[in-house]
Amino acid sequence: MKVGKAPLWWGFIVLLALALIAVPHVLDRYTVFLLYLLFLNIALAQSWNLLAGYAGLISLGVAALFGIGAYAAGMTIVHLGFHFLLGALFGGVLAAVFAAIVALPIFRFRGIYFAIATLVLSEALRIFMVNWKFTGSAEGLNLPLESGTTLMWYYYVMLLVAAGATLLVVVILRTKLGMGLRALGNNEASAQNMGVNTFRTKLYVFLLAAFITGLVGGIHASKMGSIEPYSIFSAMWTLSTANTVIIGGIGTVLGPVLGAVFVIILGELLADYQTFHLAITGALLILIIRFIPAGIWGQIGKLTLARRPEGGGTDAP
Amino acid sequence: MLLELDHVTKHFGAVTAVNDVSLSIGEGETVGVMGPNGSGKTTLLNLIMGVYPADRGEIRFVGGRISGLRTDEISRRGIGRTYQIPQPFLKMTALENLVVGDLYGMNHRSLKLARARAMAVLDRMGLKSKADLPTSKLGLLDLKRLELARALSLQPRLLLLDEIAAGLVETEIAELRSLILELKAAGQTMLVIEHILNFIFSVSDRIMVLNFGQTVVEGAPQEIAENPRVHEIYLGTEEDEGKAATETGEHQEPEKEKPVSLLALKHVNSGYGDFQVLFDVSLQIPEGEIVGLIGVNGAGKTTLIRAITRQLRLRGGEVLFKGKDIGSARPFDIVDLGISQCIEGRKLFPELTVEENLEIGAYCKRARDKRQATIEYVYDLFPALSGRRRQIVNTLSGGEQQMVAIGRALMARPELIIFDELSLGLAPIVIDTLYEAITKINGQGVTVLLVEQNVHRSLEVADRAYILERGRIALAGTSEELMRNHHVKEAYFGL
Repeated sequence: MKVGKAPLWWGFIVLLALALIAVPHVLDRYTVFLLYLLFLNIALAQSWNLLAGYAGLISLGVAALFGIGAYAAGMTIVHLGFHFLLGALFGGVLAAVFAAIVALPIFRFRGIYFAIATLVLSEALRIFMVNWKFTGSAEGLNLPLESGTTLMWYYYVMLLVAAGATLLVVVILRTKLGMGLRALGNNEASAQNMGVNTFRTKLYVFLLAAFITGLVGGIHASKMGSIEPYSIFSAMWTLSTANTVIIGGIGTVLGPVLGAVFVIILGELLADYQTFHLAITGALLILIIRFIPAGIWGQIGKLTLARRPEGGGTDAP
Repeated sequence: MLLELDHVTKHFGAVTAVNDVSLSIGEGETVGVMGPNGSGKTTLLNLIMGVYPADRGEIRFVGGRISGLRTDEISRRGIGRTYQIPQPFLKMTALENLVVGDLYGMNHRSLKLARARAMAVLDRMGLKSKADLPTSKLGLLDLKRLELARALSLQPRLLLLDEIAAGLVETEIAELRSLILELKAAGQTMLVIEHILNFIFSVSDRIMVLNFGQTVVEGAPQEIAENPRVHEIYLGTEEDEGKAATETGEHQEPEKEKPVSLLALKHVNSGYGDFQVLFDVSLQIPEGEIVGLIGVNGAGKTTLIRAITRQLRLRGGEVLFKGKDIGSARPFDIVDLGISQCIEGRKLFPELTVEENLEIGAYCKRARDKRQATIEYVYDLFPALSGRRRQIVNTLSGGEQQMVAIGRALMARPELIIFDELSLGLAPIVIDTLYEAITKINGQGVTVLLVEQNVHRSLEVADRAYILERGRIALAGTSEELMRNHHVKEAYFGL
């Protein structure tokens, strides 16, 4: 992470990028689809980590923003004939607008109350969508097949979004906003005392996270071809995202990436045992919270930190 | 004037924490604020920083009104504040902590320049070598220095210091004092809240003394140190003495034979983390007596209680109850052994009724069966509560709530009852009633440990007392001996 290691990092990143670009031409469709899901998980996890890991805002409203993105994309694609990328972008924007509207009331809540408020909001929205005729109520929407848009397309788009989300977190952490964000996540009253306008700081990251989540939802809606409120607004999106970040390492940049890889591989290994899959994931989560609360990457960071005599920063890269 | 407080008042429920306080601080001045615990000092800082709004009055900074602004806006106007208990960003390094202040407080953008400036401040505070350490790894003195450095990173025109020396040992206090004096020499304007009196006397140009949220006196340090009203506040008044002394006169008959100790502490050391609070404390609480434990805020009184009730681990020494070591008892076992405490700040169950609060006090096995009888005993002791059995305690006055707290402690049918800062924030007339009750409780054969800041109050009712000064027993003796002892005042003020 210091100067000497930088070329190594860059080399690794370039190799990884080349490999990921080559993948759809080399591997089978199923693996490409799995990687698409991996990128989807990474993007959601990065945006959630920005809120929960750095700003200390535990949001259980991922599904709401994901669903708004998906429906906004779906509606504009179906009714206005938007290209799926434009639809997904609109999804991201609408999710951010929604976040801006609810920010004022829900930022009054702290800690667990904030979490509950976002969860309630998300569930209420799901029930609303089940009944809203305009969006096709419980049956949902069927999206037209994009001509020429193959799985490979979605793969590259989601890869770009996941990489972009990760890069965004890296960049934010190196700016003033990142400092304010971490200060606020550490101790909100103390941050205000140091001149940080905590409301504005929270709002910025909340909008950013909402945009990414909505964008991902929009892309996924187009990929799925049909959406309906039960699965799109399912709390599963929220839980699996939180799960991914906690397993990988909350408050670290690479934690969400490692967590997503871990969760996808675990899902594959247990694919034949659907009943056990959730139980095992749950048990694993409990064990990780109990024994390595810093998550996989957080734990690696701690171990390497302990070996470095000069100490160094606490937030792993 | 840099800072002006104009007739500022703040209520919390029935308590008036700050009452019509006016204060002005000129550029380059260092003003001290002192007063016993609960006198409204920290509330005053919170009001200046906009943590909560004042109910009446106005606060101006550099001529502009700041009351009504948010904390971060006030901070950016140029006021840096340190917390009594350091509040760094624990998962960030010392340097990063200051970078936040530089970027946000000064509205800078460049992280690179911010780092350079932050490093310069750390250097001034003697923290340069620890710049890249996570703050969770710093010891208490370094945390205090960092607290100061964080406030300075805002390049404040006014610095508010809230008990910066609290919890430090003598040499550390001296080090911090020289840092403050350096700042003062450089022209820094400061408002200093401090309990360690020789510290505040040596750094302040002018001192304001608060009691019950009101300004008692304001003047030069020398005047304050010699002011009889200040001595009264810290040591208690001569008038309350006369009244209670006649009622409790019999208790103060010196007993010739050495009574049996119900509770004994032998060479107890204890503290929190790296921070040792109690040093080799030994004391005896004879059966049937009232024993006073006196000391200023931060002397270690509450820590001592926590060591007795096993809420805090001992680092050495032992605690004996009825001659048996209770070192392995768990906090909730203590109540069944017969030790009950009336916690500082009452800590009632605010949403429950008077009677429900009392009933919970009888949860332990030794008291459960006798619950109904004990409840009636408590109502006899405090007839004021008898008519309010179904009232939610939140809605009671401070004095009545304290009665409920005493009652709840009695519900466990203790052999030893500990009162921690019973009189805090209450009016003298209410305190009289509570002290009468203590004498009655003791008359029933219950041994009492009375923890107080107010020397005269304690000595009036106590058979003997210990004076705790910075975690050590500074003086001990029967109340009569201590009343006559001129060293009490010195030990107490630490002069």
